[in-house]
Amino acid sequence: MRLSRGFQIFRIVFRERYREPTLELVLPTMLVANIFLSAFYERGNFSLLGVVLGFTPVISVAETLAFALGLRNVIFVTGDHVYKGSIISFLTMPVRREIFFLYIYFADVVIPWALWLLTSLLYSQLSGIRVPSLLLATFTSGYFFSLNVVFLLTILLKSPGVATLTSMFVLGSIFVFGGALGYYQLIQGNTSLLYLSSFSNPYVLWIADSLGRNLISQIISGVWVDGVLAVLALLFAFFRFRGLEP
Amino acid sequence: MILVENLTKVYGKRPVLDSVSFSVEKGSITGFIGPNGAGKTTTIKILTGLLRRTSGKVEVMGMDPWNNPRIYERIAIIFTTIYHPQEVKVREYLTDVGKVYGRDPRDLMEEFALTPHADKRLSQLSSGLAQRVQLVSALIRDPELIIADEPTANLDPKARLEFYDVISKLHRRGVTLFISSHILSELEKVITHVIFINRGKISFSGTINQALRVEEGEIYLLVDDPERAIKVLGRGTMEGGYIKVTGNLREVVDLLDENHISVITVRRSSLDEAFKRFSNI
Repeated sequence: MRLSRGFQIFRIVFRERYREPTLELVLPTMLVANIFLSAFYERGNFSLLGVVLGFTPVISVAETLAFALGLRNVIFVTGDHVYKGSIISFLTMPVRREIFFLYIYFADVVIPWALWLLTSLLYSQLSGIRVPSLLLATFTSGYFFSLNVVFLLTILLKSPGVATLTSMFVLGSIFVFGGALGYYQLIQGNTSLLYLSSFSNPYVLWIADSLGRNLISQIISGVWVDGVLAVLALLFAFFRFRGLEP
Repeated sequence: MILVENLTKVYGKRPVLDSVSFSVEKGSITGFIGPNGAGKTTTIKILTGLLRRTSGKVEVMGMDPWNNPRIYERIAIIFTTIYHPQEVKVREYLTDVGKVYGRDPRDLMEEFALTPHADKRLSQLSSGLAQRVQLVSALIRDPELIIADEPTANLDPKARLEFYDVISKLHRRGVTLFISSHILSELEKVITHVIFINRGKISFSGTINQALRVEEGEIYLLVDDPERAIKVLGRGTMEGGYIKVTGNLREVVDLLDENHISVITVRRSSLDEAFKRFSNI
């Protein structure tokens, strides 16, 4: 039985991003990286801090891999197609642009996140280490916020090189200055302002929370802000892509 | 097959197409001719749904081509180069297209002698091979209309002749073809209709016969003794190896024949000259 045209087109999009040995490398590495959670976890009173550290981007190999894979897909596959014009081959396939956008977004952004979530939940389930769902939601909202901004910049700027530099500058500034601002506000004891700034680097708040400060509501606020910004960036990217003229 | 009325395309404030109107008849091979920067590629990208028109009406097979997947079920597009990720291998590319359109590409790959090149990446193909791959990709779609943008621009003369040979075969099968080019010598041998575009405006649209009809009766002759031929005719100038002369073709040939001057070739007008005439160049 022949599979539908839509599925065949998605298969082309998917295979281009996950050629061998991409998944063969990424999946086991994510799983193995989660095993190292235990190294942070087995510290008696510091159990929550251990998990928080284990789920902090850059420290967490699985999160870094998911993020790197998403960036590679968005900038150096989709971005490259837009830059070199090879997107024409896909835009002239019998599929609406809106649907094709969903295919590339799913393959570029959603699949790396799903791999991270799957491997994290799997290990959490098997090892019995409880990971707070809000911690998973924090990485999820931050991941989609960052990747959607990169996606938008890639479609707007139509150049992988410029998109990389601009994304590094924009997201790096938000994360680094947001983290510094968070620490400053914590030291000053001004936790109300953290509702506004927590979206930029909620991991600072997570560390403070795991050390005894109650900052859950500020973290939730940050997750919401990241989520709303992610949706806005995605919508802008969608409308730009729909009108893309290669 | 194609209907374009008052089509305008503006990039920023720069108009690229200015009220362009033409139509393409079913079963024709239409040459879309103009110099670089005339607006050929912009028109073709609008016809194939890759660019949005600023104003005017565009219909391809009765449908607006912009973001219309139904169009791609009935047409195929051939560009100067393959616009597909270049690291993909020939077999993979054609198999993928085949799966989307429900056709096994192996017979076509064999027919176009692509089987020995199946494991080459698209980036490794010569221009001629790449164009054969594009042709096979187009044929997999079993199209009613093929739109080609400068398909022979990078090809050597042999590959060009092969390309136009395939075009003629497709035409005999009933496929309508719309081909843009600025290399006119090969094109004029296959096209039935012609559209001239210059600086974003259509300067002529009609059959090849109408385009090449010359009121003044200009004739180009290649003879074995041009100097004596000019003396015998009492008029005419040399243009390359040809004598350009105005007059009645039969009378001119009879006069040369009576004087034992062999006529090797007679040419009335070419697309190049017709284009210059209609575009006031």
